[in-house]
Amino acid sequence: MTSLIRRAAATALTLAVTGALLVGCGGGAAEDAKRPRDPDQAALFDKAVDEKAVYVYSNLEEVLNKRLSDGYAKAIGLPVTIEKIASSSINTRFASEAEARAVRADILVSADCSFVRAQVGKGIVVAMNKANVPGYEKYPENFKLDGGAVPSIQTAPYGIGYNTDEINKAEAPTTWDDLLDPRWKGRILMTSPKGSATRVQVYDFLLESRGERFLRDLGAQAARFYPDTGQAVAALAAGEGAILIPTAGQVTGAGAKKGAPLAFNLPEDTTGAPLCAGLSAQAPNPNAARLFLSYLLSKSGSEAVNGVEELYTAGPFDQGVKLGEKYKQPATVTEETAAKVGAALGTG
Amino acid sequence: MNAAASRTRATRRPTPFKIASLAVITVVAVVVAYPFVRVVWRLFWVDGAPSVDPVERAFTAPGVGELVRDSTLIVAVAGACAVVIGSLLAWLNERTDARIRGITGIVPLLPFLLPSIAMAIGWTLLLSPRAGLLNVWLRDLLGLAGIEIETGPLNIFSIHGMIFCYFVVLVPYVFLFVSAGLRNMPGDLEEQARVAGAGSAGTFWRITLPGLKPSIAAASVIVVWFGFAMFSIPLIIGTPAGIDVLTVRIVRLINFTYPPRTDLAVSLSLFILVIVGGAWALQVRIMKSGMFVQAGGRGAHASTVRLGRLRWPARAFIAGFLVVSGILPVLGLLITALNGFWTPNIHWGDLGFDSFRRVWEDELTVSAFGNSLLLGAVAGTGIILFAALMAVHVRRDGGVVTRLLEAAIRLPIVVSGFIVIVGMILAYSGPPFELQGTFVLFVVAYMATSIPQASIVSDAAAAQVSDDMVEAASVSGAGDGRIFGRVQLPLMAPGLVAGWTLVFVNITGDMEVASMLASSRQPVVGFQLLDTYNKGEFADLAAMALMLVLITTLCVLIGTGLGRRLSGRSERRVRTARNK
Repeated sequence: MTSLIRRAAATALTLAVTGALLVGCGGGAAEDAKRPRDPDQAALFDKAVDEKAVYVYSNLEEVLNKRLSDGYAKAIGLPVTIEKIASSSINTRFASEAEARAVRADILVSADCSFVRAQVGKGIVVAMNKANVPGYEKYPENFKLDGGAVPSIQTAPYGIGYNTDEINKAEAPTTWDDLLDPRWKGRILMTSPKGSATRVQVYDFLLESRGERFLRDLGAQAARFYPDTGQAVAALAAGEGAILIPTAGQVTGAGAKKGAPLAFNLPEDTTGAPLCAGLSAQAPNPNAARLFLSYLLSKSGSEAVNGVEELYTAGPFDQGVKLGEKYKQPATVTEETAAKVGAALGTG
Repeated sequence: MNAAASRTRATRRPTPFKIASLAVITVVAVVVAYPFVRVVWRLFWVDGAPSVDPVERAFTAPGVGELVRDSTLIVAVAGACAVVIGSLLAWLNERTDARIRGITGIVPLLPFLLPSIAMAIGWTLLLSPRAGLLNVWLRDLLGLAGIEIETGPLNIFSIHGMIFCYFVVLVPYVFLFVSAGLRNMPGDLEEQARVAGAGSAGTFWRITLPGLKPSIAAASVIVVWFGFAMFSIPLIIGTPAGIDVLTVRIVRLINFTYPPRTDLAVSLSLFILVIVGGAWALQVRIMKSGMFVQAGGRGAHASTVRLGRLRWPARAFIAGFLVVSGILPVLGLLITALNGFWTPNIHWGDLGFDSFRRVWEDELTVSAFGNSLLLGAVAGTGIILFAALMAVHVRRDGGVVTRLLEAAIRLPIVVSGFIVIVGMILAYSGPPFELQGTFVLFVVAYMATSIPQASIVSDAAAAQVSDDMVEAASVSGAGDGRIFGRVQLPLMAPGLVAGWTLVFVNITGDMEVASMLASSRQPVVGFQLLDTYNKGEFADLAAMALMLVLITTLCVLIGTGLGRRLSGRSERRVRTARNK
């Protein structure tokens, strides 16, 4: 037995050492760094070379994080580490680290713009229009929130997904109002507003644009409320319902690519799920972070984030999906909004 | 001076081993409890004075009555069924001729090997009212009998569906604990009862069951604990059913409410604290009563109970459980993985391994597998050894300080893993620890989430080690360290291996710590499962879960094999010592 314990201890020690070696790899060398020609960027560059790799907490798809870091390496060449974090925990982690004064991320790219906006209000995130990020003054106004304090770098417009085995293209609903047609009663799968701020936003958009009665009638059409879009879209593909709302084209598109009978209609008047960027007020690498933001908020950076067609996103410089004239930026979510939406939909 | 007096004095005198044990337990207690105390302190101590607001909030939270009622109902019904069926399966496998070597010992563990998110999705794929594969097949069968229905006949999105899933997930825990207890329990009393004319049922009822009290008590605590801690199943199945439970509400208050309502989340956790605390107190009382048989006392190898005509029905019962709890959800996942997406319209000729290939070729996923298995092995081994040390220490020196330290280690996790992990980020991310972005923070988090479970197993294992054996070793001149390593650990081995399996599987398939601490820079399996779930890529999720099941099954097989070997050794050791 003792020899067994000794052997187990030796194995555990070996594993622990191996584990320790796994920790903390990241960043990159600045060997290929290129000093920008823009004088403001160049000034930041000169200071940034003495800092460590800029660190980003991101909700972006991993493929987009890769495009972004590759694009930045090509444009500037300074190191950047982009860490994808689950959308359910990015806010908690960022806020907890800020509270513990252990800020790791210089930049936050969150799918919850309400959170970023609130952090600006608290001084935990710097208002972008006061952050001295070169080129930000040219950033398109329709992608600036709160007067420019928070930039949205990408938006996935919300629409209506449907199962092509259940409904043919001609009869598929194309507007939100079509969903109240009695023939869809009990055939619409919906994602619950309980699980995410962005879903509260889209239901709130419908409530504000069409009134509480509309949302109540819409709730009565639901076959079921799912906790997450992922589970709901898989159920739609299987034929558990004929229609899914709210959803993004990216989700149904990914399924359709694998042969699932899924399609997507984008109503002209809609809102979306934007991703917002923020600069931490306690950023460990403030100059490198501002330099990276000047790239992220440029046309090239936006191309990296919005240039993948199948992800069905819209960017500030007219990349990706074209948003209709009636597209509306989502409002900030408050507890009252969430309660109002839940009460009208009947989800509590 | 007689031997007994000198022995008593020896046990009272602090030895280097006792001091070292206490030091280790103190350090772990501080590491685990500090983040929790930090979070809770701010809620109960407002503006320099104590506050009862959290308790008030707990009772006045919207819909709290319904929330507590539904949570309790689901855990109570599913837990009671799991204790009965799990114990019966363990007895059939350990004590009767219904056992089939290499099969019946593994069957009840199958649902335990599937990560909970995969289990919930597996049942969703099978029993969704319209598109569930099993429902479609059942409707086809009913159609042959002229009965035409459009949905059902079964519906996983209901309270019955939730209770069923909870039951399936909880049975393996009971099976593990009760099996370990049966292996540790000498069979001579049962043998004597049978010789004296008691039937199999009478022997089971009068001898076996009372002897299993510590194991069943431990299993019941785990069942209550895990039942109230479950997250994936109530989220995936409860939300579409319109049923909320405490854990889901707590996580939503932390992760999906802005600003996070940590105060209300902690307040709601008080209900879980009271219920699980009560179950734990009951377990401690049962252990203290000492009304059970201890290994190493008058041990003898257990003989096999012959079931006669009931042998094959018993085997059919085990096979039925295998089909319902293990094969069906795995089949649902497998068909979906091979098809590429979930659909009831399977084109059997078009099935392929693309999903498995995608998972296998994804560097991040491969890295996640490596990290999870490594963390499971390292943290799992460390945690179970620590739990054994604590169990022995508490048993020998169960003073107030030791009990307080034990409570400090056990209680935080009851108040929701998510709250504890937020506390850990707050406590250990910054200076002087600077643990952010390291796997050390994972290990610390796993200590908080897993030591309480591991210690329930090790307490039961320690309770079944006879004090006579320890005293005999002490009289022979062995020090405390030597007694721990050479006598107590080997005798506790079957239970500890069961505990290691529990911790290892929990860590490799963990979603709680993964969702809060993992990232693309530090991927673990739970993080990857969550990512594929969020994208609705059920085929890839199924492939990933099945690959994890294969790997963990291998590890558990090695673990249970080792357990049996160690069990055999400890039995031989006991017999040798007794003969001397």
